[in-house]
Amino acid sequence: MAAVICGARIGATLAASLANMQISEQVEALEVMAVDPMRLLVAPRLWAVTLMLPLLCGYADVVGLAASYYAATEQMGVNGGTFMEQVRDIVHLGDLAAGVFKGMVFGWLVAIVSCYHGYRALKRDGAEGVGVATNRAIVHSAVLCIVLNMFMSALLYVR
Amino acid sequence: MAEQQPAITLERVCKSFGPNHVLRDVSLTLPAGKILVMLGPSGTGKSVLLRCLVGLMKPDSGRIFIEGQDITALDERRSADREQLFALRRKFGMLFQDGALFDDMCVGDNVAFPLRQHEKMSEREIADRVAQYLEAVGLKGVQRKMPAELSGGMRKRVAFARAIALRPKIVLCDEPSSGLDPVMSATLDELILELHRKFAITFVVISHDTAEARNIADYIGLLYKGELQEYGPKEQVLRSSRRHINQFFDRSTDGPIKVL
Repeated sequence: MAAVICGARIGATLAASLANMQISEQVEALEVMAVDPMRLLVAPRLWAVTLMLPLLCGYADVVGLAASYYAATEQMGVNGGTFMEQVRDIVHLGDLAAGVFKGMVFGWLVAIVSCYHGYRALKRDGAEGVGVATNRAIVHSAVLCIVLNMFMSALLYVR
Repeated sequence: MAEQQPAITLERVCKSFGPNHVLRDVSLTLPAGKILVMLGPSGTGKSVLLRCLVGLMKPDSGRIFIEGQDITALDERRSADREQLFALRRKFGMLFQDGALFDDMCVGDNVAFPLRQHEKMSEREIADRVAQYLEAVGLKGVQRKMPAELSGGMRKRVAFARAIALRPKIVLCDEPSSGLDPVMSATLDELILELHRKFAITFVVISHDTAEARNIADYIGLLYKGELQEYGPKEQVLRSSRRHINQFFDRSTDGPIKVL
């Protein structure tokens, strides 16, 4: 869920920035300056999202746990110690590792999809092209993350 | 003494987008160190020609030689060719119609960008070079401003400073005077002439402006409906009896050039 939410937000930013560079000829300017736009624009974004989304997933895990603790202890009257004991019983290190791994895969997927849509925008599409690229990046990233999550969960958790 | 290689040679260059033939059999030779002003109404393939020259677009047929090297033979998808293409592109500077400045960089970083990418210079040397070029385009002390804070004319001049930062052999200018007031256009023309005199840079200037052609050109070409209607040294073209060229220079609606 964290990957889908963050992915959509990050993907929109990536796609919009690249599409804007395309329609304003900034990408062509790079090519004329003998600079590879893939290396300068796409590769760092790909690495950044792939490496940072797992950290965001870890952060979301911590926030989720804290929120659950608050809800359980303050609203449902569960003893704090009992809650933590239950958490230790149910949540294993492998679950956290799986979450981080999935975050990495989703980060890579979101970056690839968003950079693809942003990079494909054409000058003639104008400002509308930026909107279309951003929209496609959000929708495709979210759908692909959800579908991929089904398969990955099946592989990781079904024994 | 060996004859100097032409800066640019086009041999029967054709380019189409679907049924739209943008360039038809365009051939020309531009000697090194000359200024070519390519005139023509909007939508007649001038910008496409410029993009073909620098390898951003590949012609459907025909060949383009840059200082004797065939740029059309290079396939950007092959890594060996890509290296050669990039080496060839380092001979170029290009002024885009709207400047194409990097939005997220300040003016100083925009002009410094090609230097940081390709030259082994210290930051101090780069800063000096940036200041020198910005002063040359009449924009002293704007290094920290962002492109969004500049007027259209200022953006164009910053883009010009960036285009010449690496002291290229050939500078391509896509409508440098469009959207500028007459004084600013004349200033940019003066700048082109000064750089041409100082560094013997070859310029290809795409324009609608016949006054600009008269002022700065060594060679003039006229493109209409993708065909090169006229091309040659300025004096020869201005004496031409061809109706296309006369209509264009007389700013007349009466003639073979029709509004598209």
